[in-house]
Parts: sequence; structure tokens; C-alpha cells
Amino acid sequence: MKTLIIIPAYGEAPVIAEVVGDVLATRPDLDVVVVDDCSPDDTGARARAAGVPVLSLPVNLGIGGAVQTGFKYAVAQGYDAVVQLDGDGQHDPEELATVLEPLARDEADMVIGSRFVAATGYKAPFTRRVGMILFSAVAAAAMKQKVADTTSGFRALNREVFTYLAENYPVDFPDAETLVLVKRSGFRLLEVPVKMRPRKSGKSSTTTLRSLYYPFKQLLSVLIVLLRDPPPRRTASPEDPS
Amino acid sequence: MSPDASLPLRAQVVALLGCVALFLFVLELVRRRQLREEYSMLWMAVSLGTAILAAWGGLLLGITRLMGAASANSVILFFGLLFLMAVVLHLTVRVSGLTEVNKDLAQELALLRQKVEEQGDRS
Repeated sequence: MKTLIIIPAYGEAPVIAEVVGDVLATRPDLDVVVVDDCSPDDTGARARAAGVPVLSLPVNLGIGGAVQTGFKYAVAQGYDAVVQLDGDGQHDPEELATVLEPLARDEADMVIGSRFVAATGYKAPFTRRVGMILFSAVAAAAMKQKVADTTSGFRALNREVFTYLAENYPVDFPDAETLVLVKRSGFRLLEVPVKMRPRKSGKSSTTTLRSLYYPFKQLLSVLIVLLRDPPPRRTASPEDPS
Repeated sequence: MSPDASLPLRAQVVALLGCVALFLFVLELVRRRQLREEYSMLWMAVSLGTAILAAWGGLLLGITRLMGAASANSVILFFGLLFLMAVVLHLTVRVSGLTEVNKDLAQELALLRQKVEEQGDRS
């Protein structure tokens, strides 16, 4: 299974080389691409120096747009699976096997690495927790499946899913909407517990002010995804481009 | 206001002059390519419509009576507001479309940039 690790990064210059090196050392069998979301520092240059291809966005698109760039790259390069991994080092490369295994066994089309709350003492800000709880409830009803960690940025996707998302990605509000969209399109979703480390640097992409309206936007986005028909899945195989 | 009262002449002249000014300004913007023809049609129609209402006072008063509104002022304000809301809604729709297009272009650029770099490394 030709697998690509997509690392979206914004302003991670102090740690990006270490994060990339960590992944390469743990899993030399996997390819890595860093998506530099127009960082003000030299994140892109440092990642390049670490020896991996870097996709440099000319303008800041936010995490959703950055990750989708990685999906488009994976489609163009013909990968079988991708794993999205945060650029701040909070995702342990040791856990790559955990999220990839269900894909390899064809038990799921998309695997979410869920925060193992007890093990890391991870504590989300209050507003974010409200958002997560709220979404989990709505999503559970909408998807008929319970997902505890809806905002996880540690996810493995098989080719069908990332090809689909390369074309239709809810970039405004990627984490929650994506799950509902993927599920509604008939893909199999699986959540597995993974250990998280404290982030090495930087702040969460969710600021305090933004996290205040986060739950509301999350709810609205999800309701809208439910209101519209999911974009159709293409069934064409790679050797039959139509 | 009696039912067949007409608009004051001075108000009519001021309104007409305003319409002519708007029309000429829009024309100039198109000439300087600062406004696309597509949108200029809309603004020209607005100035034309307002000019008709100003010149033909009976029409405005007729509409006022038809709507059962108390005064012609509120009729003008009502339609003006409605029109502006429609314009703003249309523009936000356009901005959403542009955002999407912009995002796709930026992503494409990043992919191409990487490809060029890769080829530079190889040669």
C-alpha cells in the first residue's frame, strides 16, 4: 500500500524538521509531504531541508484548504492511502500503524485517530469541548454512528475517500463536516484510540474568539451538509479515466 | 396630501439631475474598465427607473395608492431597501464563488510549484 503522510503546517518552523524527521525515522517505508500554508516564518524551507517535498501555498487557506492540497497531490501521485498528521508534533508517528491497519485490512475507508483522553491528560478548552459534545450528539444522530473525537486532525483515508475529498472538501470547517459528508456518501468510518503528545509548539488553529462561535458554526455546517445531497461518488477506476 | 397631488417641480428636477449623474458616472466607470458591463446594466436600469418615477409623478403616487402606503416617501424607501438587500445578497454569493475559485487556483499553484522544484532538483 503506497502511503503518503500529509503534514499541514502553519508557522511551525521551530519544530517542523523534528516532526518530519520523527516520522521518517519511525516509518522509513512511508512518503511524507508537508503543506506550508503560507507561513510567515521559514517552515517551508526547513521542511524542504529535512528532505521531503513541500507544497507551498501562495496564500493562507486555513487548515482545510491546506489538507485538501495534500489530497490533490496524493491523487496526482497515485497513492493508495494517506494519513493526515498535525505539523506541531502532537501526533505520535508510532500510532501511524494504528490508523493504517484498519485500511490495510479493508475494514474501513476512513480511520480517525481519537484522543486517548486519560493517557495524555488532554484537556480541550471549554468552548471547544462544548462544540465537540454538541457535534458528537448531532453527528451521532446524523451518521447513526458515535464519534467521540470529531475534531481530531489525525486521520487515515483510503484512495476512494481522499479522491472524493480532493474534489469536495468543506474547507471552511473541515473536521466535523468532513465526517458527516464522508459518512453520508456511504464510506465506512472507524474511530480508533491513539495516544497524543502535547504539541511541541504553536497554538491551536482555534483561537479563543473563534472558539466562541465554533460550536454554532459547527452545528450550522452539519445541518447544511444534511440538507444537501452529497456530491456523487465517481466510480471510475484509475485505468478508466472518464 | 390630496389623491391627485403632483410632486414639487424642484424635487423632480433634483431627482432627474441625480439620475443623469448616476447614469454618466456608471458609463464612465465602464469606459475606464472599472466596472463590468454585466453590472453596469443594473445601475443604468436603476437610474432610468428612478428618472421615470421622478418625471412622471403620477406613477409614483399611483403605486403609493395601490400599495395602500401612507406616503410616497415610504414607497421609495421600501423599494430602495429591497433593491440594496438584493444587491448585497448577490454580491456575497459572488464572493463565495470567488473564494472557491481562489482556493483552487492557490492549490494548483502549490502543486505546480512543487513539480517545478522537483524537476529543478533532478536536472
